Amino acid sequence: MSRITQNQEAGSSFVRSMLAGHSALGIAFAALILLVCFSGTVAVFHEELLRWEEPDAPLVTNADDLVIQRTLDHIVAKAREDQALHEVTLRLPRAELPRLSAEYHDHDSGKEAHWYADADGNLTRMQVEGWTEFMRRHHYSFHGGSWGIYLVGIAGVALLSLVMSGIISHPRIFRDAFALRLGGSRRLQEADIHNRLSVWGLPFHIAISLSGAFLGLAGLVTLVLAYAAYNGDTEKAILAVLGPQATEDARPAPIPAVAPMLAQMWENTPDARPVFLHIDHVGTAGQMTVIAAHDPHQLAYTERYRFDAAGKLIWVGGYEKGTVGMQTLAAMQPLHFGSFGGMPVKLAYGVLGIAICLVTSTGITIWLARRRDRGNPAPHWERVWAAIFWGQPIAFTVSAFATLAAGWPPIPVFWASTLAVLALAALRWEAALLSFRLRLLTALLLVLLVVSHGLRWQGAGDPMMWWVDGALLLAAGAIGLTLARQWKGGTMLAQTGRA
Amino acid sequence: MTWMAGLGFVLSAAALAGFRLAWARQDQGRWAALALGIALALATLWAWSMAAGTEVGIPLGITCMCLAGYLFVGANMEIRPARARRVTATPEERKPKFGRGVVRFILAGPLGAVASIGIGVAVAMQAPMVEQTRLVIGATLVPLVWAGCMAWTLCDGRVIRSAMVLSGTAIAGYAVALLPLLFKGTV
Repeated sequence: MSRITQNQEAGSSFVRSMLAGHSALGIAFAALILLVCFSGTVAVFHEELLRWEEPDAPLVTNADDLVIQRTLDHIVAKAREDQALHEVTLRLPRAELPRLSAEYHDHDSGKEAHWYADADGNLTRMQVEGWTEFMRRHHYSFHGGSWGIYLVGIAGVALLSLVMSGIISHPRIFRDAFALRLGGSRRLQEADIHNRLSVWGLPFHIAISLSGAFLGLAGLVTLVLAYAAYNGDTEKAILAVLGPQATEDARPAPIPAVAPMLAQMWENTPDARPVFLHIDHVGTAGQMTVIAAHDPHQLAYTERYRFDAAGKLIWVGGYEKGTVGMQTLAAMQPLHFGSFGGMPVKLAYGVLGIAICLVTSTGITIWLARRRDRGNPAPHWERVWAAIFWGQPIAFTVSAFATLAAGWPPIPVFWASTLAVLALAALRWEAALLSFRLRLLTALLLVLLVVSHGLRWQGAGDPMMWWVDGALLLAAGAIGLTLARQWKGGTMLAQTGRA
Repeated sequence: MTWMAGLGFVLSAAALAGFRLAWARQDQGRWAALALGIALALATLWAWSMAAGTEVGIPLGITCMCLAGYLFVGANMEIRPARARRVTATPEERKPKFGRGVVRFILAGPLGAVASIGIGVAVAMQAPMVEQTRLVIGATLVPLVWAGCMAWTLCDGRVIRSAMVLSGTAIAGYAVALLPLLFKGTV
């Protein structure tokens, strides 16, 4: 046998083996990756959804030092009244979220409160920690605390591993980069969709899986690094990266004034726009103030400025112009959430996020179609996958409706809806029929959500609610179109899973 | 800024057109088209960098080209008539064995994690960089190396070899991280 033939056979065997590994890993992690990616796609728009959820909150487009100082004074007074003065945070208005909000939190008693302030810095109404917050935390940790965050991190590692094995196991993936054949064999169609969405979304897939895995595993890795490099002193490890922290000096001290701290920050970076202000151990000699500010020309979402108890600038994070390490750290979050280019980038991340959900789904439907092609169909798994895939938009919509319309807690509603849809897979409907009905249900629920939201908030002042309602209606319409097309023309394909 | 962003959009579409041309041609011209596509892709990144600064411009340009890629693929869509199912070549199927599956899970999961954390710790402690960079790069390497270990372990037919390499990687990582400290007497 010639050397070329031997090499070709070895290469082909390696590719087959890699494809088998890619397939096994994908099947094992598909559901988890789908849950993370779908919630992540929704979470990209958490600012818009926050405005949509509470469209009656005061709109504040700008807050000068006086307004910030007044808001700070008011929230400190509220915290004192509640005997919960430990840390306070002010979130300042931005183009994406024109709201001024303030909150306090006391670790010992667990007391906390979140308020909206008006353009003069007066606290007007409490924030509702409702559906948007649920959705954001769902993406971070499935509400499972540290273990939930690690699980999401592991999903990121699995996704990154699938990206690597996917590229290696498809030698023609770049050569076939423009081929999209729909109709005919379902396996071929799904493979084309899977590979084309993967190859053109590759930079995005690498960025979100690596940054997601990093953010998810950061706590665990910090713990290990602290043990290895700092003899178990996690505070020292955090200090090395995040800078000085508040100390345990409980002697009373005046809270530093806002204006001089902002002036010191602007001396450093004249174009920076403050995004939030946080004071830890408020009113004590150990207090520390952090001001985070955004420079639109930097990828880092914010630079951090730390001030001592007297309000003197003592540390600049270096997220924008510091070491390679700090700039890398600062790039993780904006790259992960698409918060570096305003609404156009968010919309692009929305499209790419839907694409990665489809890549995950088609990965499973390729496997199911292959089983069917080989005469070994798995109709129960086809139904289960259709239920898992469409269960996500249904569960998010039902939880939003239940929370907004009836004030029900979103976590049990979300999981109950997910399980209820999954239970439908036990009915012996053909997978395509189940998928059709679940899509119909999704579209109807979206319309119901929009109508109920619109009726409830018709007099509210934030125009974002109409944009979000319009986008949800558009999504319902798009699903409706696919249903109409299928109803009219049937399908030319063998039925497998997500139709 | 606005017109440079507009130029960025135009250039990203032109870059994709170059790649599309290279894909369609079978003759020597494909390499020229490919080179043109790459040059236009670089020009796209330049235009976006001019429009929004290098740090924001490069990810903007890449995102733009990703979306342009989807548009070109959509434009190239081919609808095929129904075709009877047939048995096709499939990837290598391993006969599922429970014990082997458990071993692979342990290799790709916990052992891969241990090995990758070993590499991360080694870089975080010993790489010739400033402290912050060492720590962040070390931490970033953990998911990257773990993902690589996972991909490789699942595709390698020889489980023992995977186990040996991963164990060796872990031992080497921790040795590089900790041995210098042992010699200095700080552990």
